Order: sequence, then C-alpha cells, then structure tokens
Amino acid sequence: MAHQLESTIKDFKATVADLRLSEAARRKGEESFRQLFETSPVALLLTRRADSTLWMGNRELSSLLQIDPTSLDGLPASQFYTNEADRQQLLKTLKEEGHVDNFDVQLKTSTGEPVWALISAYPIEYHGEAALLVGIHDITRRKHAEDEVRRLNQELEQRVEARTAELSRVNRELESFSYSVSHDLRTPLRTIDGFSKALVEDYDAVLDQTAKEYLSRVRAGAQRMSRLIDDLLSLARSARGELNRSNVNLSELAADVAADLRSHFPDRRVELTIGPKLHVNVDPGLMGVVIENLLSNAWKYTGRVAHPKVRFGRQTKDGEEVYFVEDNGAGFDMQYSDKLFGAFQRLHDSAEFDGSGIGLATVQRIIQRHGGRVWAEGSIGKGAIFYFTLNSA
Amino acid sequence: MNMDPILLVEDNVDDVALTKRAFKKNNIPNEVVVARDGVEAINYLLGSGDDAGAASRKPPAIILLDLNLPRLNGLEVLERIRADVRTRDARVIILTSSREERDIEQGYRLGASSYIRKPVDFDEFVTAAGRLGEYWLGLNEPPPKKFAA
Repeated sequence: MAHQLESTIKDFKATVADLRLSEAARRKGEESFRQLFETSPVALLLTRRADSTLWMGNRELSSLLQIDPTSLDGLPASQFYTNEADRQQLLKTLKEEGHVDNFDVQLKTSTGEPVWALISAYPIEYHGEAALLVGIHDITRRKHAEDEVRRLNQELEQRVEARTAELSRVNRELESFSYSVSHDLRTPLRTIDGFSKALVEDYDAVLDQTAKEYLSRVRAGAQRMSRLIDDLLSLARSARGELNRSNVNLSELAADVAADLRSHFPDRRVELTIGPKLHVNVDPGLMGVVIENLLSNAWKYTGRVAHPKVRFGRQTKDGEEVYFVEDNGAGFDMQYSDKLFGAFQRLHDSAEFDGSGIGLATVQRIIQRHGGRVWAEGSIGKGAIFYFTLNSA
Repeated sequence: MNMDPILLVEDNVDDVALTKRAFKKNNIPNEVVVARDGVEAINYLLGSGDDAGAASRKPPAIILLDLNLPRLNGLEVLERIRADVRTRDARVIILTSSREERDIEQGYRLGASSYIRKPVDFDEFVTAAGRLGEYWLGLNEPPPKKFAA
C-alpha cells in the first residue's frame, strides 16, 4: 500500500513536469493530471507551500476528512492534525530530505473524528506556484486491529495470571490435604493395631482361638490401610513438585532396589538380569519410585513360579529407546491391559497377590511427567513385560 | 544407661499409652514425663507459665517430639529448644506419623537429633522403641552435664 502511494505521487510529478512542455501539451497534461488526481483510490491533496493552506483534494480525501469539496480551498492544513508537533515534524523532514514517505500520524476530520494515516508528500510546481502533493493512506482500521490485538493479549495475560493463581491455590490445598492425610489418617490405625495387639497379649487367658484370629484380622486390616495411605500419598507426590532432572544410572538404581527386595524377601530366589550402564536424564527420586514399583511387581508376581526370572533393560524399537521390565510370573489377560494403569484397578484378588492397585498408576503418572509412555504385554501364566519410554530432554 | 526421665511430647492419649507400653516391653525403666502440647513442653523444659519449677528439675535424657501438636507445633518447640542456651544441646528425637519430605527436611534444619516415623504395626513400633532406647540411652554419649539438658 505504501509503495502504491509513492508510485502514484511519482506519476503525478512526471505529469506535472510535462505541463511545462507546451501550451497544448500543458492543457492535455492538466487534463490527465486532473483525471488521475480525481479518480485515484488514494486520498490526494494539493497544498500551497506559501501559506500551508489546502488547495485541491480528490473524492477520497473529501470522504476521508469529511470536507465539502467546494469549501476545501483555503482551509489551513493545521486544522486536520491532532498534534501540531506532528505537522512540524513532517515539515522538518520535508525540509531535510526534500520529501516525506509514510509518515505515521494521527489526523482528524473536519468534525474532529480521529484518523490514523500514513502520509507521503512531494513538492511540485502547480500553475507556477510551489505546492505539495500529499497522499494520505487511511490506516485507522489497522490501528484499531492492532489495539484490539493488544487488548486481547492483555486480557489473555490477565486470564493466564488468574488461572495460574487459581491453580497454585488448588495445588496448595491439595498439598495441605495430603499433608494432613499423611499425619492424621495413620494415627487412629496405630490405635487399632496397637490395642488389638495389647488385647491378645494381656488377655491371652480369656480369649479363645477364634477371638485371637479376629483380632489378627483387625490388625491386618489396619496395616493394609496404612500401606494404602502410603501408596496414595506416593501417587499424589508423583504428580506435584518440580521435575529435577539429572544424569541417572538406571542400572545402579535397579540394583539398589533389587538389593532392598532381596533383604525384604530373604527366602525368594529370583534370577535377575540388569542391562549395563543405562544412563538417562531423569528425576532420580521419581525414577526410583518407577523402578521400585516395577521390580517389586515382578518380584510379587513371580512368587508362585518354580524358577523366577526378572530382566530389566533397554532396547531400540522402531528407532525409539524403550526400557522394559520382564518377568516369567503370573502374567495377565491382555483383554484387561487398559485397566492395569488405573488407580485402584487390580487384576488379581488380594488373597492371591497383595497390593493396593496404585503402584502402576503412580508409574504411569511419573513416566508421563517425563514425556514418555508406558504399556504392558502379557498373558496368563506366561509372565508380563512392562515397557516405558523416557523423553530425556 | 542414662536413667534420666524421657520427655514425651504427644497430644494423643492412645499414642502415649502405646509408647509407654513399647518402652516397658523393651525393659526401658526411665520415667516417662508427658507434655500434652508444645507449650507444656516448653514450660517443662524452660520453666514459665504454669510450670515454674523447671530450673531445679533434672533435665530429660531424651525428648521425643511429635510434630502435630496443639498451640505450639513440634517444629516451633524444636526451634525454641535450640535457641535457649539451657536446652540447645538436648537430644531431640522427632517421633511422628508422617514422613513428609518437608517435615524431615525442616526437622533436621532446625537441629533435630533424629527423625523416626511411628509405624502403624505395633510389633514394628516395639522394635523401633527398643532400638531407640538402646542407642540414645545406652550407646550414645550425652553432652557434658554443665549444659542443662
């Protein structure tokens, strides 16, 4: 648009130069100048340099500045500027550079309406008098669009701020909730367990075998709930807090977890293979939770096979690094594989294999927070393989 | 074996009973003094308010400190214990239900001597109490007596 403005004005300058050629040519030139001037889609204006008054304007100009074309001649140019300083700046540029191109300025119509415009001005001689040929490009709509974009951006920023504040409020509440769960929910369980035990010990003589068995069930229930609370808290923790990535040797991590498992289940003989030097950039604490969950699952579900084998390693699958924990244990029905990772979803009854059904939900959440995926393959009685990827960026 | 009393700062009566029982099962004969909240604990140790006799009292061998307490919470109690010259060397063992990271972190930052999580399983609790007594009342060398606690 700005280019168009400049070339229009240059065309006019050429036409005006022609005026000097001859009288006949002059008349012809004047005619074509008038025609071009009138029909230009750009608002054009001719001003007298001597007194800075309007001389001639085309239809576009009349409609842009809302001037009656018959009363235009002689109006001072200054009345159409919102700021006189802008006009002075334009004149200064004109003096220094001989012409003005795309001068960004706010004008006003004869009724005072603001008009944003780009002005180009070239000096010419018209009927022997020094004049300025001025092209005005209306950019009011663009300015409004820009203002609208700015306003929307600001609004968006405010909305993001509000949402962030809301989110951190909810996070704080969630945190104090799990803090309180962590402290207060376990205390009554200790009372239940402790006094059940006290009953068995102190009233041994008056309690029969059935009563003692009931009490041991009460205690088992309290202890199971305590583990459930721990697992739930671990699930909640895996979702909050920052991800602090560092270089982690998953092979060492797995070996540590396995050592814990061996000391916890000293009578289990599990043949464990760990792939060497599996270095990756992850959050060490959260990754420890993942490995612990997957390996202890493998330990648990190989509890009933004659020669339990567990393998942890890394392989490349379709150009992607995939980690896996494989066991030859109880396995699962692939039909229910989508239920594996839901909280409280269990595929084995708790008499067969104890568990809260929260471990794999926690694993999934941690893997997802690392930008990876987790999935499983297996069949009943033939073991299971858990795969996961890690975006180690 | 250090035979000075044990100060148990605990608001839950069941936990008080179970802790005493666990000590008894481990044949720990020390008197167990119970403070039911943080203010009581501070008054007992530093002597102010209702309990002005602290100055003449024998300082406890160890302080077992719960965190969730009415009035002054456990961490505030710990802070005051460490801030006072008479009790700054006291052996303060946080004994609480949670193992929230921030509790453990703050506990040690404020100068806890140890942090023990109360197990739900009473058998484990008895084992923990036994080891605690063995270490803090037996094996561990307390600071010289010129400091009050």
